[in-house]
Amino acid sequence: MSNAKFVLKAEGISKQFGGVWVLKNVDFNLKPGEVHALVGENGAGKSTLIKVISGVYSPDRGKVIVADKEVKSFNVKQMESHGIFTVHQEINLVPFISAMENVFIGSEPVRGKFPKILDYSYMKQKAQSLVQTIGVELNLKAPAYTLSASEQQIIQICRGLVANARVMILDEPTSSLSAEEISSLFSMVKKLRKEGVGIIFVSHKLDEVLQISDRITVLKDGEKIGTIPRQNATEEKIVSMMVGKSGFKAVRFHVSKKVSETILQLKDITTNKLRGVNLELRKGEVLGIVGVVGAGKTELAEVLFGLDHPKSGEIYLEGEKIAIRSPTDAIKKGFALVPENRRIQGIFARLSLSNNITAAYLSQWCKGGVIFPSLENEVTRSFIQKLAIRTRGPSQLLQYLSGGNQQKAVLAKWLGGNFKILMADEATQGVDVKTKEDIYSLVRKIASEGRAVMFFSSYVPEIVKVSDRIVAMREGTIAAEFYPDEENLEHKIMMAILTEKGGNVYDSKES
Amino acid sequence: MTAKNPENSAAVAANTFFKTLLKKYGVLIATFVLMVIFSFATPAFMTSRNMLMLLRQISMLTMVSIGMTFVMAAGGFDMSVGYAIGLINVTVAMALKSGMGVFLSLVLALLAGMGVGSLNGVLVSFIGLPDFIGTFAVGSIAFGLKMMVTRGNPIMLWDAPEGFSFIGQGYVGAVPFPIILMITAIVLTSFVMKYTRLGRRLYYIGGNKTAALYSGINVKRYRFLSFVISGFCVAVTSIILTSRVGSGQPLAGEEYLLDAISAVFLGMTMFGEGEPNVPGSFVGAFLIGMLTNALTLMNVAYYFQYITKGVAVILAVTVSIISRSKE
Repeated sequence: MSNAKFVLKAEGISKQFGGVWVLKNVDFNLKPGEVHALVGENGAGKSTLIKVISGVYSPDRGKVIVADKEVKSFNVKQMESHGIFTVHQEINLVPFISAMENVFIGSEPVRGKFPKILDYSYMKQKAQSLVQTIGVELNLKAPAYTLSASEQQIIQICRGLVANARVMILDEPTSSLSAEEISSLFSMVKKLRKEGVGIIFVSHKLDEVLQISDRITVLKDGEKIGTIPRQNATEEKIVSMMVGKSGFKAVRFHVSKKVSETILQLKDITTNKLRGVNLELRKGEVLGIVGVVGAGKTELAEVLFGLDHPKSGEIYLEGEKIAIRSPTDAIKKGFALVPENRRIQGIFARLSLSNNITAAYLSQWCKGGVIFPSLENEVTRSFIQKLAIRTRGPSQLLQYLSGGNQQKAVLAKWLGGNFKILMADEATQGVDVKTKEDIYSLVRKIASEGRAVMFFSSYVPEIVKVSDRIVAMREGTIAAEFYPDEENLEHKIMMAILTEKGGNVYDSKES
Repeated sequence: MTAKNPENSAAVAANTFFKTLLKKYGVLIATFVLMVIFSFATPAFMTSRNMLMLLRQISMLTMVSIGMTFVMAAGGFDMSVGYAIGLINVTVAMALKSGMGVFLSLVLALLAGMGVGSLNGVLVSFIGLPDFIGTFAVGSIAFGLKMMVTRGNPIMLWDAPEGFSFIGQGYVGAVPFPIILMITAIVLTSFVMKYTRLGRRLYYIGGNKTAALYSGINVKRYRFLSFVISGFCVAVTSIILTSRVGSGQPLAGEEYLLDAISAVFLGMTMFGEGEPNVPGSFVGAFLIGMLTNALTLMNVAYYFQYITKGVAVILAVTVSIISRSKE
């Protein structure tokens, strides 16, 4: 079998982290000259599978076969030597050297034994021929930082081609590209396909998936639901495979549809990422804001927390027009934010639990600028009890707590204060199942006290579970609005966040 | 398998205990051990006279280190302190010499120190220059300014007002006044760092600047403040120095930069979990001052003193890093 039918075969791949199986017995294969799309919700296991294939993780079970040979050691260098390259979402070029030199990082052509001298003329020749192969125009002399996002992707693709890539993994390649750039990327992909390169295409955007791929594999909860050829695929069909039968929605909160006073109203909020967001938030409700990564959820939270300032648009808090200048200002006006990235934005790892809990409303535990540690410890102990935080005590450093308990500390940081609106951005990410449940009930409880919660998440089942009302975001704007008692809800939401057709036209009702 | 080898677990416990001891009190233990060694090596070392002299010597280093502790607690560095001390030293001397009263001269010095600190703060915190570059450049400007006004010549204060001389040379009972100043400063700033909103917020910023911002802390304002406090401490140091030596010395103060950073690093290994803290910085300053004092008494050449200081800092910080990484 010298002429391999598959450039890549992954068989029975399983992978666990901390006792949770994130991939369960997944098969995946790729033919030369084929575009094979990989789709699934956040947390379905796409990125884990890709990381196994590109050598970042080694699988706990199963094997990867490249050109009829089983891969023995899993690391990125090894996989690259087998011809498997990844074009990352976050592009990693060296900014101040030229595009051409970036192509050859790690495989610089040299002349002579000692000293080794860079062979610029070969570089130039080779780079030019590569750019021609994939049919793009690119100023190879320009320093990398001057290149656009799509040009930087081209450089990454060229890097793979220099090393005779047989498999190219494109991880959400269109997320930061304009429509024009996307079409030039696709024509590039078609050229690569002609060259016999196998392409794995990971994307949230189903229209693109249908446009470019030959086969589509759907993952859900770490399992492969199926692989279908494009001819048999429609957006509807893919979405129903992605939604499947969820065992999650079994216990849904009893939500109220009673309309109460509006607390927050957004009119045409526009930033670099947001395109005219209109939204209304009511007292006593949990508003689920759902969307894929890059849909603008975090950007919206950042605007409301004073971390970003809208270019245009208006914010009304309890009927009064406001400007939110800074997080300090946002807190004063009654906003609280459980940020998306706990480790970087949420916690003080090397400070104690009690110091973490008092961080946001420190003045509340002070008299005349002086902190009373006894008061601080008392408050901390009450939160340890109320939220069932597993810790050795208030003075334990936060870095020694588990992810779930760290997240509880971040929540406790806000619960001590008198906020009106809690924004929780992917608040259940990286926490255990028990803590997830705790967070859901906590969010419900806050709403039942008459305060409002904006629950941002890309995980549809949890959005359905906690929300009184749901808005779907797509490409920086609000695409649709749903109520949790609608028929076929998960399917509808998925259509709204993944496809252009899914939106029911949403208008913020004037109050 | 549940039954543990008792001997083994005792060894583990002893090991853990030893590590905690090293981690938290390594520098303190090293200081005591060295004190014992020095007192045997030279009889002149462990006398009340020498101890008071030693404390008076380190009062200035302690002051600078306290300022540096504030800056480093907020995750920054102040590379301007060495040259700034020299600049203010010259400023005070010139002010006194020109006939300005003691009180006004002191106010001028403190304002000048806070001015240097504000400049650091604006550059680093508001404009966003990297700490090392911004404060080092300010230090360079300070150096240039003092050389410009003195043309490299010392400004002698032959007849400094008595009130001014008292600051660096006076005694309260048997205790030199700078020691009293130092102890007051230690007590006051320890309290500020540990028990006030200001101190806590500096630790939040040093712990995680982004999380501090996301907790509603005005990161820029507090980082700015930390530099102003450092500038104030530099001014106090300078005032004591000017009074001690009775002159404005264009080249004075330069060694304080590295000594202060070393003192804070030595002190970070103490008490807490690796955060800069005032009592720690004092012990660090004491250790550094003691090395200089004892080695001088033992007639060790000055260049060897520098080597010893370097080795001491490397040892102390290495021990703390190793004991922490084994956690």
